[in-house]
Amino acid sequence: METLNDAKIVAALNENTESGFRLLMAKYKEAVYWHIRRLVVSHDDAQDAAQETFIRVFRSFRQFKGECAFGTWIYRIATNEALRVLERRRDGLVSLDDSEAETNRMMADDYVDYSDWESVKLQQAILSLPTKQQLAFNLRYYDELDYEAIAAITGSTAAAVKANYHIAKEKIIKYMNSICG
Amino acid sequence: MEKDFDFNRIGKRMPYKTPEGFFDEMEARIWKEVQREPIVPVKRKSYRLPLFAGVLAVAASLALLLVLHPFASDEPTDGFTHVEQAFANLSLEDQAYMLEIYQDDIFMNE
Repeated sequence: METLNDAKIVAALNENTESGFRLLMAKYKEAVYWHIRRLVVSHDDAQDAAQETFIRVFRSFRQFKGECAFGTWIYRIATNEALRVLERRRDGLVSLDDSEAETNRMMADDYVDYSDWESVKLQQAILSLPTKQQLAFNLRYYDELDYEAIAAITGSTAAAVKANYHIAKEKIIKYMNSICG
Repeated sequence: MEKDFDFNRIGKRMPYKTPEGFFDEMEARIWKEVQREPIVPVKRKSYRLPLFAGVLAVAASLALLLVLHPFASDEPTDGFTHVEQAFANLSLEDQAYMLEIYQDDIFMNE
């Protein structure tokens, strides 16, 4: 996340809403969508949550006081939207068996390429992790954010994020070894 | 010794796909949505003075109603009825705006 570009985006949003909006989308629309998609899996849910994220960002960017990087703030909103989707789903589940069935159902989305067996298994391994470990792993591995930024997004500490990332990585390796073995 | 799973073999590849032209469509949809309502700048401090003046105006109206009440018609009414009526006459957007701005304001909720 380049701070300079973010400063330009915020300035453009303040000066001219449309050009600011275009810059915001150019930099973040794909990153935000994929971040949410990795958590919620379903394309439709990811689309709704990404859309809601940008509407919130656009309507409230004037409240952004710069306590953290602009990108961190956007990721935080996106993460909250994704967690809200997961929360709604969990409300409808009654047991752990249901939870496993739900993961399989999520992976049965139309927009998943099952021919790429290894990457499907990797995503299943990630989805089997507790949410904090998923977030730490995804934001570090896919988005290449530093531990401080991830901590700001998840409301945690850099040390805790680092620990979660390493635990997640070990679990994924163990899972992938067991199925590829 | 068994070789560990190698992340480099997959890299950032994911099995997830999106429909053709999805990101452009999403951008267009969001732009359409955000244009529907104007951005509301939230600067709470700046609302204190007008709000306080508004509260004073309501209080003055209530006092006036109480003073004039004996000479007024028998129609059952009070200050709050007027306020509620005025609020009901606002558009849904304006009602939402008023609620967002004033809902946790100390002057309104004392």
